[in-house]
Amino acid sequence: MRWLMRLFASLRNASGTGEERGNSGAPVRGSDLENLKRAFQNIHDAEFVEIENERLGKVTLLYIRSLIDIKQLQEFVIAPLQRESGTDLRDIVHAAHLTALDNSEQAETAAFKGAVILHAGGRLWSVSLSSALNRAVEPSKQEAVIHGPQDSFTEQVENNLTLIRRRLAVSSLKSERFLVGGLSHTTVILLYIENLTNPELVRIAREKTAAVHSDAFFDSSHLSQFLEDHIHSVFPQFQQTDRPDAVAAALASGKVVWLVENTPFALIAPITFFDLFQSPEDYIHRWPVASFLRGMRFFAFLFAMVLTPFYVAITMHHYQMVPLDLLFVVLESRSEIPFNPFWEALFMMLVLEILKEASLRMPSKSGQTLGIVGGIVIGQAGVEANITSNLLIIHVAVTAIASFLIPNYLMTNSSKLIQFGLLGLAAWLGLWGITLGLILVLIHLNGLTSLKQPYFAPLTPFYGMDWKDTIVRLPLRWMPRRPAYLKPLDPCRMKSGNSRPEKKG
Amino acid sequence: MRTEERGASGGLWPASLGWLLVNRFQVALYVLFLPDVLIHPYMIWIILLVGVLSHFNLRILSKWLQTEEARLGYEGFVRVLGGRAVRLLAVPAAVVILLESSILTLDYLEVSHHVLFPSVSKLTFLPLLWLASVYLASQGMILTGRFVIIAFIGSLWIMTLFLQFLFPPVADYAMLLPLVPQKWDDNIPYILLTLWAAMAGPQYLAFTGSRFASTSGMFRWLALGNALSVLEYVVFFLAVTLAFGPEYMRKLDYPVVQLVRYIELPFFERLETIVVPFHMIVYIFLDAFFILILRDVLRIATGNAGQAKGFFGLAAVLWLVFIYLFGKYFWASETRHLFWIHFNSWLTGAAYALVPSFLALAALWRKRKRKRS
Repeated sequence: MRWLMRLFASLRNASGTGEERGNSGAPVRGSDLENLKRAFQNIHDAEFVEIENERLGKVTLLYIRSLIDIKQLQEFVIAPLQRESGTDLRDIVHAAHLTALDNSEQAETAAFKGAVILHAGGRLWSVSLSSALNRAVEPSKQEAVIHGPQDSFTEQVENNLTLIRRRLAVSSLKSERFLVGGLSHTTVILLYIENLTNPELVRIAREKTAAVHSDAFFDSSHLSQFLEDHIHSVFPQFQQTDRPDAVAAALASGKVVWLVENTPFALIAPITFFDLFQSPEDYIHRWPVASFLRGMRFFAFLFAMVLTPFYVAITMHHYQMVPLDLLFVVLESRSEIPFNPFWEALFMMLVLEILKEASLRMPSKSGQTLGIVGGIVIGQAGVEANITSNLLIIHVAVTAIASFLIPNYLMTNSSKLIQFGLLGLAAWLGLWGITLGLILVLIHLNGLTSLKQPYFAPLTPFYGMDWKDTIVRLPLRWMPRRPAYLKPLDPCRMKSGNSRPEKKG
Repeated sequence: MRTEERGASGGLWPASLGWLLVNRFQVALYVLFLPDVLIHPYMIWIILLVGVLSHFNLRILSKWLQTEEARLGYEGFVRVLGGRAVRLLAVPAAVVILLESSILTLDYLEVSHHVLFPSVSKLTFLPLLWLASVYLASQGMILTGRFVIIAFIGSLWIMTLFLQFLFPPVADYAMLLPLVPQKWDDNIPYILLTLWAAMAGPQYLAFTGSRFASTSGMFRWLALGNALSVLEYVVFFLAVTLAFGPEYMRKLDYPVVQLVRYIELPFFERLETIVVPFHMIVYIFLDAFFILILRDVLRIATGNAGQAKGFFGLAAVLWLVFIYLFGKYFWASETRHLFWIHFNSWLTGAAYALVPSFLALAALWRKRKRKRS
């Protein structure tokens, strides 16, 4: 019996793929329409309209009124169905997105994505007429640049795709669509450049996306948590950006990108630890300036993690390290504080985090007040009440400012958590403890991967050529090759004939 | 290669990693300790001489690494020595690994205790060092080996602190005389042995042939690592000699560490408080490496060499317990401490001299035997 079933299956395959069958409009069981009607019960804005067509007979329209453009529905569907006649629905409805459906489940999903479902001649069809509920393309708030492109993504995934395609106008830019989330049916578009991106990366990305199982995805960061290799790491393994130029640059270097519906943030992978310190402005500045600023960011990251723990280590364990003149200042500053430096620092760091979190959630005008209350009143009052020392206030303030130099918000938060860990180690074992903590972070980074690629490249494993654009940013002319750790199919970035004058006439 | 490491991202080790591995293996212990032994300025020639001898030994090691047997890993050793001999040799190998890592680790903890926390027991630091090493080792041999790049960068900068002592006004070049000895030190055999032991460590690479993606041009990389070690030893020895002079050096414990105390920055003094913790990165790398080698040795000794998993936990716990007990009962006094350092010189010196030659000769003998048959 099994061979007979296999024969039937091969015959079915030979007669065309599922998609091809769908295009010709697969016959739908009579109960499917009933199923649909049942599914649309108790939805106040679900509408069923029946139109009598001369040739097709009774055509039933099902749609969610709040999701579709009623004007377009009237113009492209209802009016032609009332006026024109033809043997096939495609002869009557001339909409670009007229798609045949296989079953009621597909129809239900399409309806909630803003399509009108048509039931005609025993078949189901969908016409995408979603209402244009989207905001304008605006400058990025998260990754603002003074010079350079000022557009950013919106919540409309198709618009975001347009912004990328305008920058990479090639047929090799491939986009694969996935629907994720049992409830949200979120559209996810996987982007890569064929013949450039390593096919292994595309395969891993495709498999991981297809394997995502959860009810609802409302942001790309939700999706990233299902795609990442190390779920317990404090370090982000995907770069989130709302800048189309950053996404286009990532695609052009051989990376893979996910666009997620209803969020302006795209996901880029694989990334390295060093990628998270890069800003789009680095490629706009002169290279010595860009290199200096990038170096400053790495320094600031280290500063943000280590400065306050270092103060605690010195004042608790290693007074001998402080030169005598400075030691007097430290001792005087701390002379009337009743707590040891650890509790003092922990208290101030927690206050700072509370202030930062509160200012994020407050309206901008209240946020300014909060800044004054927090920064000046609490700080000043804390010193006068002998709860904290002047020196520690300086340390904590410098740490807070340094953390803002890191362009990636997720990385800023990672540095905060590491800082608390190092604070504990500093109080316990002084500089030995801080060093141990830093080594543990380095070991963690050594083993981390992003889309199965080494996260700490080009350091471990070492790729010498990639250092031209890591801590420093050398002239673009000196970077003829794409990052080696991505193992792109086409490693060469600069080829003769890439630019040519436009011919007229 | 073991299955858990086959998936390690970024592939196997390139041959170029060899120079970093050789260098960090060589300088770990003796960079702090060596000037204790080398007192006379003319001993700088002995460093160079031993460096050249080590160079030849590395040539033999690279020959072994280029053989098919080395690249096959365990199966290669069985081909060369036979299954039973490999299992038998695994037992003393485990003891050697445990002893060497104990002496190495306890010596570092001794320095930390001496410089940073004289009132805290040195064994307090041991579980923390172990934890970091086990965390690194849990990533597998490929990633642990790759960590040498971080260990190298994280510790090489220490040498730059000493460069200022090579130039006036701190350096007194008269201290370098006599560069040609009028009378050789009576202790020359021990000094030679210690220096040879200071160049030891790369013998462990003999067991990692299967982890290298390619071994072509291997000798060049190994020789580079060796040359850098010689340079480091010379810089440290010269800095200490020029700053302290041979007479005062004799009276000091860890003159390299003592010298750092003289560096002053506008914000900080007593930089040994930073230097000693940073040197820990090399020890964590080495200890992780030893735990992984111990794991492999335990698998072989128990007849489970074909297993891709297991024995890691046992190796890690055995390592900790052994070092703890060793530190508690055999490392307590200064005399014992010196005895074990001396013992380590013999142990590692002998291992470095014998392991590459033995394996290379065994492979050669097998090759000839096969040709004849």
